[in-house]
Amino acid sequence: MEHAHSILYAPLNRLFELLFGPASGAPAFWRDGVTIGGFHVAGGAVREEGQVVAWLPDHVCMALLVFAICAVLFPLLARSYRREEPGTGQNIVEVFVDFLRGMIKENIPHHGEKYLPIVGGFFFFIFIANAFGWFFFLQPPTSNLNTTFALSISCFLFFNAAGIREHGLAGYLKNFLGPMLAIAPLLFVIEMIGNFARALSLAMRLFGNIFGEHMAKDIFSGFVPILVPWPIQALGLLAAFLQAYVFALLCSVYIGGATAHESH
Amino acid sequence: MTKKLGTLAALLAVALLVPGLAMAEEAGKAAVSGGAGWGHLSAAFAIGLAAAFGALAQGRAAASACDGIARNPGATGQIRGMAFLALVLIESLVIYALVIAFVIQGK
Repeated sequence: MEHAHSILYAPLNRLFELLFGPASGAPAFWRDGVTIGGFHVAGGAVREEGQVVAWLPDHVCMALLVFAICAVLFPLLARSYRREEPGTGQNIVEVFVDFLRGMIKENIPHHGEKYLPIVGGFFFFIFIANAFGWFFFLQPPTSNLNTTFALSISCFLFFNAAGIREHGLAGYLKNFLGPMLAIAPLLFVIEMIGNFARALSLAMRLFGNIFGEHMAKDIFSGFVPILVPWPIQALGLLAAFLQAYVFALLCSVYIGGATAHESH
Repeated sequence: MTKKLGTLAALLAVALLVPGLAMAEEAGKAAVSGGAGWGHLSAAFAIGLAAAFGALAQGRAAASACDGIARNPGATGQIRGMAFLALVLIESLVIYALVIAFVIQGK
């Protein structure tokens, strides 16, 4: 699983070393990560042969860059919003927002509009993150399992919280019981496992697609550097948008499922 | 218009061309680990099987979608959305197998 480093890896780590000292002097929780009850939950600092070598791993640098791009781009676009003569950026973003709005309206039938920000947030973050794979000097942060799990766990927490807010905790758990009271205990376990499997599957799907594309491109470039990687990269172009769309679609489906009211 | 298209084409060519040259020497350095080789064999078997059955399933989904649209062109939008979701969900199973293949390939 060897990636070349992006161009941000060295400068950002050097900045951190200027600010906070060498990486081996990092505080213990940064160096070793978080261990809860024997489970190594969050990873530690970047290590090579056991020695701590850098403050921030590459995917964190890239994720910070995605965040910076989004934080700069979208307020600028929002400020330049003109109703009569839309500019180019506004037109492009309006296409996406309309598309997302239609998707949410389809999957979350009542009062779905309030979930547009989070679904749109996931969509744009993942789309821009995947788009980093098109450039040779950047690495897509989603090609690392940590980033995709972070995204999928956030989505999981959100749709469960949305369901709990709609129905109350007892009401939300009643969804898992199933139609008949007799098989309720068994069905509860099965449904719970399925619920956690949703978080897992979101992460694995995104990771597998983007990492697989990246790996295929690397392998093909190793064989024939000039002409052969182009179809793979074209496929990568498609996959970037597709995976962002699928993540947002599944997120809205899960939110719709969690907040659904039987009475309507 | 042609000038912009020309610039865009040049940029695209550079963006797609350079990584190939940059990656060529990287991949050359990556060594193939020794060991019994069973990991590689089982990884190939796993992903081959997964891809075969995944392709069959996706073919059926796509065929049903085409049938549905042919029968009722008015419902194209809904059928397309449904078919798309089905294809992606089937494909994600193949992706799980791919991830497992990567994991066992190194061992």
